[in-house]
Amino acid sequence: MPELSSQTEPATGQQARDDASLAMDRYAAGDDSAFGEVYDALAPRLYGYLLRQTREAARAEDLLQQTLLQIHAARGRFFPGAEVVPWAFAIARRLMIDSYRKKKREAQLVEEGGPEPPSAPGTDDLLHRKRLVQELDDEVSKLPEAQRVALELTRREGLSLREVAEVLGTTVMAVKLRLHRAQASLRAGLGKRRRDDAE
Amino acid sequence: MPSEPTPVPRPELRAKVLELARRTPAPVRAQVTKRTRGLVTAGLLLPIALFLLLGGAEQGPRPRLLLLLTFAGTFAIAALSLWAALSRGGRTLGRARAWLVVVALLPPLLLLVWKVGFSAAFPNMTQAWAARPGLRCFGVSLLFGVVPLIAFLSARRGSDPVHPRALGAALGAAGGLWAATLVDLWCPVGFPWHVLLGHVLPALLLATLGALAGARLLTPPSPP
Repeated sequence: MPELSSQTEPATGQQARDDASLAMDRYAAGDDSAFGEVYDALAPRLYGYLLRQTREAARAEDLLQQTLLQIHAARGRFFPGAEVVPWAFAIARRLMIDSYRKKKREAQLVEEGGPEPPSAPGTDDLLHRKRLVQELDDEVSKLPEAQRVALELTRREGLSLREVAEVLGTTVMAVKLRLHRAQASLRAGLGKRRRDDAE
Repeated sequence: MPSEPTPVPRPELRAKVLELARRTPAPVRAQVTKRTRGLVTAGLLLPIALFLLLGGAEQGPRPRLLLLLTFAGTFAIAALSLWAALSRGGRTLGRARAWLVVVALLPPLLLLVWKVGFSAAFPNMTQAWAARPGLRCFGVSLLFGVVPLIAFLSARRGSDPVHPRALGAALGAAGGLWAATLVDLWCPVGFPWHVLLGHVLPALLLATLGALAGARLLTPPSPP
């Protein structure tokens, strides 16, 4: 079971990205000791992403290990001065897709729904919140893949539009369009639920 | 309200990954750059060597000015295409899919317009040649073009987790256009169907071949 900790929370934001990219630059240039820094900067973010996508801790760790080893194997290809986060997410995403294809479990995973949040006192507020999150997750899962992935990478993983464009191999404009459409679909879906509840 | 705990991987995983990386050394940037430059250079020079072995440039009935104009244009299109396909735009993942698709499709068509357009400006230069329908140019273009394609695919092998097909197509077209530049040096025919069959179609075929091969060769290897 993975450790749940708020004390070892990953560094987030631009600084963490810059640190990771600087460390990766050093690692690509031959400084072997920098890989530990690359791991520390990337692993928590990648693990969170993989865990949310796979909903299996063991599988997420396996994919994380493969992602980092691919980063290691391809370190010489890291472009000087480039950002490492989009590259790392793109490798993780590719490995995850390959893994889904191999095991032919994508449909099953979609049906399984989200992981159960940690048990908590069943107050009305928490139950309501849980229900809202569940509804949002349901609506997100109904989005076309291109929109869903763009939404998850920006909203959940905190990647910038430029980084998401890089991960998906498209343009910033295309990502903006996908996000706009995704938000419109979510608004419509959640609005319909509210109306249905009211009736 | 306390912030939600962030899931983190087991601490043992860090030691395991670092140990696995230590046990399997990976080439550093300088080594990869050297290898890539070597492969790209070989991919560009080998067709020139083949071209010279097969007889080299031939003016034929073309005016010298037409030869220079078509060669300069074809070379410029090929050079632009090579730069657009091989450069990564400052990003490890390379350029966007749309860019690569344009690189695969647009330059071959530009080549057609350039060659036929300038040939049309000279008398009798766009007439059909019964003895040269374009099959020889087609074969030679494919032969010259497949060499750089193999070299480019080798240079970028396992490097594209995002759009390997599009990258493969762009590399294929670039290889095909490099071949077209050489073929243009000895082919005086400006008949549109000849140019299409013998000079442009091979570049598009190599783009297709590059896309098919790219899907297998350019994607990072999946673990067993």
